[in-house]
Amino acid sequence: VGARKTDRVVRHHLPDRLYHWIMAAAVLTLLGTGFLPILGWKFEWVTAHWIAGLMLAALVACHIVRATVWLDFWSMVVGYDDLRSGWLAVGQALGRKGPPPLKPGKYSLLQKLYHFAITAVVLALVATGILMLLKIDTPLWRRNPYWFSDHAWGVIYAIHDLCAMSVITLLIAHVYFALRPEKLWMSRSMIIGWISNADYRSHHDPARWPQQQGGE
Amino acid sequence: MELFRFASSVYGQPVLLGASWNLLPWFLGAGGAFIVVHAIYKVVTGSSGA
Repeated sequence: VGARKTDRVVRHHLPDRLYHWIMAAAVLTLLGTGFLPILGWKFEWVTAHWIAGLMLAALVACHIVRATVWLDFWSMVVGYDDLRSGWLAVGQALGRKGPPPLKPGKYSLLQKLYHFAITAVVLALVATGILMLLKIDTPLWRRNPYWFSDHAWGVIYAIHDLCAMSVITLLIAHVYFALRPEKLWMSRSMIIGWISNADYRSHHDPARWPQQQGGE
Repeated sequence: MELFRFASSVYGQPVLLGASWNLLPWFLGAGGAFIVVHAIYKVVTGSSGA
């Protein structure tokens, strides 16, 4: 952590770290207000749930714009090199002889697959959640549950419920990897923003993720 | 185990309400099982990668 500035490689800029942690707060609020009443904790959960849901929707919209316009959108998309490296990693895990897996760019294949899964689940949650706002009165709008048939509402709720439960599984895996000792160098960068030049060189392929300081 | 929650309509027909909350322990268990399997794999192989 005490590395000189010239030994640092920026991994997550401040807006991206703020996005991550505010989104984490919104997701935890949504999980708490969504599942605690089911588990028997009785409290007025609806207001906190829809406000946190709208906050998550706004954050996701900001993230999509930022990732598309300001960040390297393709750094999170699975490419041929990722698949080839994944195949080599599977072979290595099975004891097969051959070249070692390629070093990743900014994100590894598993991180990209995780991001794809959580993106699909969260987008489905946001879309169904926005539709479910039609069922409640708020200071901003009046309820109108007659837009959909009973069956259509059932499908919307089923998608929302299944995706919400999937978030629990994905979140457990996410926190587990974030806390694993060999991943702490990376997890820490979501707080302080940077990784060391040594970590950059040992864990990443500079050709696939060129960084000024790390390349020196 | 039921995958979905149903209610009865005024005509006595089943109406879909959403996913069954009995699935919740399975999703929690899947996360826990993933941790256990991966941790065992790491201990057995001693690898430092993903």
